[in-house]
Amino acid sequence: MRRRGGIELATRHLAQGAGREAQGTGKGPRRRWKIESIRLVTQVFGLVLGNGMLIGLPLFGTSNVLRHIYFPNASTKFFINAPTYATFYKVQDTVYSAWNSMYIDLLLPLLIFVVLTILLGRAWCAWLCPLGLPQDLLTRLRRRLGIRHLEIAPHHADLIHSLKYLGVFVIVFYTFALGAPGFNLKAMWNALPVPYEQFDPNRAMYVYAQMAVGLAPTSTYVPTMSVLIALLFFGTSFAARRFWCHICPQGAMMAPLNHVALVKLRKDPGKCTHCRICYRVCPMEILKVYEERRGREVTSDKCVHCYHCVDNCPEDGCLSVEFLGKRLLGSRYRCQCDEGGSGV
Amino acid sequence: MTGSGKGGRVLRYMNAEMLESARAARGRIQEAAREQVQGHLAAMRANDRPRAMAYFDGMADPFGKRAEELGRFRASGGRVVGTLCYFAPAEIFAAFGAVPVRFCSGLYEAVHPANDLLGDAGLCPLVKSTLGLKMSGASPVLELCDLVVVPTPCDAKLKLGEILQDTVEVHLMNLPAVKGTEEGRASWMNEIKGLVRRLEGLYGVRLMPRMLRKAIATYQRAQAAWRRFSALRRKGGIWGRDALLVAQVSFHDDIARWTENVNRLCDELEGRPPVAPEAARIMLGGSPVIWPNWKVPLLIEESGGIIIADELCSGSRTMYDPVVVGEWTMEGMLVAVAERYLVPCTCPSFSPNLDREENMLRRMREFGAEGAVFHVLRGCHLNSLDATKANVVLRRERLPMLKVESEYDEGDLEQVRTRIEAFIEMIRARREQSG
Ligand code: SF4
Ligand code: SF4
Ligand code: SF4
Ligand code: SF4
Ligand code: SF4
Repeated sequence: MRRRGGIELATRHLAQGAGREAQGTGKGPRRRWKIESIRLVTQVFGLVLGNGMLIGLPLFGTSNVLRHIYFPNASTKFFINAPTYATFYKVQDTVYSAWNSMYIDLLLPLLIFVVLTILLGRAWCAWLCPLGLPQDLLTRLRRRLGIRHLEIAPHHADLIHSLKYLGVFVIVFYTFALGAPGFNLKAMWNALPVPYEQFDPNRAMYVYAQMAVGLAPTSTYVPTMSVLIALLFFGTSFAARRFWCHICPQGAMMAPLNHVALVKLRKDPGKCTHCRICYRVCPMEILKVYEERRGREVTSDKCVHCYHCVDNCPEDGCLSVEFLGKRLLGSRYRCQCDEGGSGV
Repeated sequence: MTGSGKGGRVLRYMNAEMLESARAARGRIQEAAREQVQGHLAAMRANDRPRAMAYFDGMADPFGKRAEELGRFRASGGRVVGTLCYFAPAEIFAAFGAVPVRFCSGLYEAVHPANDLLGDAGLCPLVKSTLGLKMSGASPVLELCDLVVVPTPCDAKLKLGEILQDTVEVHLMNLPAVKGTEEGRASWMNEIKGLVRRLEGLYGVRLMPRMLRKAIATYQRAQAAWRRFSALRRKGGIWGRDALLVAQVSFHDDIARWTENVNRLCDELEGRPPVAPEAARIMLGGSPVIWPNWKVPLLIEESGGIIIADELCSGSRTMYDPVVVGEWTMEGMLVAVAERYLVPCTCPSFSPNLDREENMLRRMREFGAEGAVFHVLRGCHLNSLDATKANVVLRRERLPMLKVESEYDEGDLEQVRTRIEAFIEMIRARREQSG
C-alpha cells in the first residue's frame, strides 16, 4: 500500500494546500517519522547530554557558563557538578542559604527560566524533561500490555490541574517562610532542607539507577519521601498518560508563559471536521484543539507540545506548529494501516 | 395482528395477505430494478468516462453479480449482516468475518408494498423502499442476512427497525441526537459494545483485539483510497454520478477488492483531463441519493452542470472519515471506531449541527463549487429543515443554493428538470457577470 506522509518537516508542501495536491498524486512511498519517535530520540539524547545526568558529564558542571543553566522543566541536580537542575531547586537553595543576597542570586535563575520558557514554551516538557521520558516509556509499556489508559474526564482534569498550582503555592510559601529571618523557621531546615529536592521523584528514579551501574557511590543519599513519590509516580503514570504532568508544579510555573511562548500550536478552523481525534490522542486531555471553531491560536496552558494532535489530525494543514510565525510542522493525512507498529 | 411468518417468526404488524401480495410483486420489483439500473448505466456510458469504471458498472446491479457471489459465500458458511444508514460500524462486522451490506434502497417499485402496510404516504421513500424490498423478498442478499442492524437517526428509520422485526432478526442501535457532549458519546460507545455482545452471541465467538485490528486496517485502506479519489475529483476528471456509484458499490462489495479498484481508478484519473471543463460546478447535498435513484444527479449533469463534490451520507461521507486509533488496545480501538461514526458525521439527525454547515462551506470552497443543490426526499423533515438553515448560511457567503424535493418515481422528473436547468443557467450568468 501507498504510504503517505503525515508530518513533513518545515516547508513548501504545507504552504497553501500544496499538501493536498501532493496527497492526491501519491508518488510512491514518502519517508516519514512519527513525531512520537522523533521525540523519544530527543528525550533520550536530552537526558544523556543536555541534562548530563545519566552517564554524567561532570565536565559541564565545571564550566562557568553552563552551570548557571537551570532548565525550566523538572530536571534535577544528580551529581554535585551536574550543570542543570530545576529552577525550583535553585530558588529554594538560594532563598535559604543566601537570604541577604537572594535578590541578585534569584534574578539570574528566574530570568533564565523566563527566557527559556518564552523561547520554547512547554516544549521543554514533552521533549527534554527527565520526568517526561519515564512517563512516556510507561505509556509504551502499558500499550504493549494491551491495557487501556485511565481516561480523565475534562471536568476532572481541570480539578487535577488546580493541584499543581497548590503545589507551587506551597513550595513558594514554604521557601520564603524558611528563608525569611522574621519567621524563625531555621529549625525546619534540618528536617526539610530544600523541600523540592526531598519530594522530587527524579532523585529516587535516577540515583538508584546510577548506583546500580556504578555511576554514583552507593552511599549517595536518597530521601525517603522521594522514593515514595517515585512509586506514586510510576503507578499513576502507568495508568494515566502523563499523569505527573497534570500535577507537576514545575510545569505549572511554565503554564502561564505557554501562551506568550514563541512556539505556537495553530489551527485553521476552516479545515477542521471536528472529528475529535486530536482530543483522543492528547496526553493532557486538552479539548480546546478539537473545540475551537473560530480562532487560530490553540496553545493551551496545559499543552506540553508533544504534537500528537498534529501528527494524527487527518485534515491537511489543519493543525500546525509555528515558531516565530514560521511553520515548522503541519498535519497531513496518512493511512494508519501503513504504520504496522503499535500506533500512537 | 399476529400469525406465523417465515421461520416461525411472529407477525405483529404485517399480516399474511400483505406478505402474500408483496411477494407476488417480487418479480415486478426485480424487473423494474434491472431496467432502472441498465437504463442509467447506458446513459452514463454514453459520455466520456474512465475505463476503470467498468468494474463498478459490473457491481452496480443489486441483484446481479455481487448478489450471486454473496449467495455462494453464504452457502459456504460465510456471514452476512445487513445495515442501514452510515452509522452501523463496518469494522465491527468485518472483525467477526461478516460482510456488511447496506440496505438503504433506491428502488422505486419496492415502495408500493410498504405503502400499503404503513398507511403513511408522506413517509420517506427510502425507508419505504427498504421495507418493501424485505416484504417482497426481492433482494436475494437481504434474504440471507443473519441480522439487520438498524441505527435510529430519524422517525422513519426508527419505525422501520421495529416493523422489520416481523421478517428478520433486527438489532436496533440507539443513536444519540446530541453528539457533542460526553454523555452522548458515552451512550454511543455503549451501543457499540452492545453490538459487539450481540454479534458474539450470534456467532459464538469472542471478539479478540487482533480480529478488530485487522478489520480496522482493511477499512483504513479503503478510507485512504477514497480520500485519494476525493482529492482527484476536484480536477473534474470524472462525472459526479460515476463518483457516487463508486461510493455506493462499497455498500455491498468486498471491501479489499473495492479498495483495489478505487486505487486503479485513481491511477487513471491522475492524468485525465476534465470531462466537462465548462460545466457549472455543483455540490450535491441533502438526503441520501441511493442507486439507482439517479434522478437528481443525472438531471444536474444533463443540464450543463457537474457534481464536483457532495456531502451525502451515500457519497463522500461513506468512506471519508478515517478511523484513527490512539491506542491499539481493545478499548482504544472500539473508542476510535465509535467516534469515527459519530463525531465528525454531519447527518441531519444531530443537533446542534454546526458541523454540517461548516462541512458544506469547506467542501464548496475546496472544490471550487459555484452552487449547491440540496436534495430532499419528500417526507425527510430533517433534511428539509437543514436545507432551510443551509440556505441562510450559504447565502451569507454569496453561494447560491437550490432545494430540490423529489419522490421515488418519475412523476416529478420534468418539474425537477426545469428547476435545475434554471439554477444552472443562473450560475452561468453569474459566472459571465463576474467575468
Ligand atoms: S509538567 Fe511533566 S514534563 Fe513538564 S516539567 Fe513537569 S514533569 Fe516535566
Ligand atoms: S484532529 Fe484535526 S480535524 Fe479532527 S477535530 Fe482535531 S483539529 Fe479538527
Ligand atoms: S494539545 Fe497537542 S501538542 Fe498539546 S499536549 Fe495535547 S496533543 Fe500534545
Ligand atoms: S442522512 Fe443520516 S439518517 Fe439519513 S440515511 Fe444518511 S446517515 Fe442515515
Ligand atoms: S432520508 Fe431522511 S427520513 Fe429518510 S431515512 Fe434518511 S434521514 Fe430518515
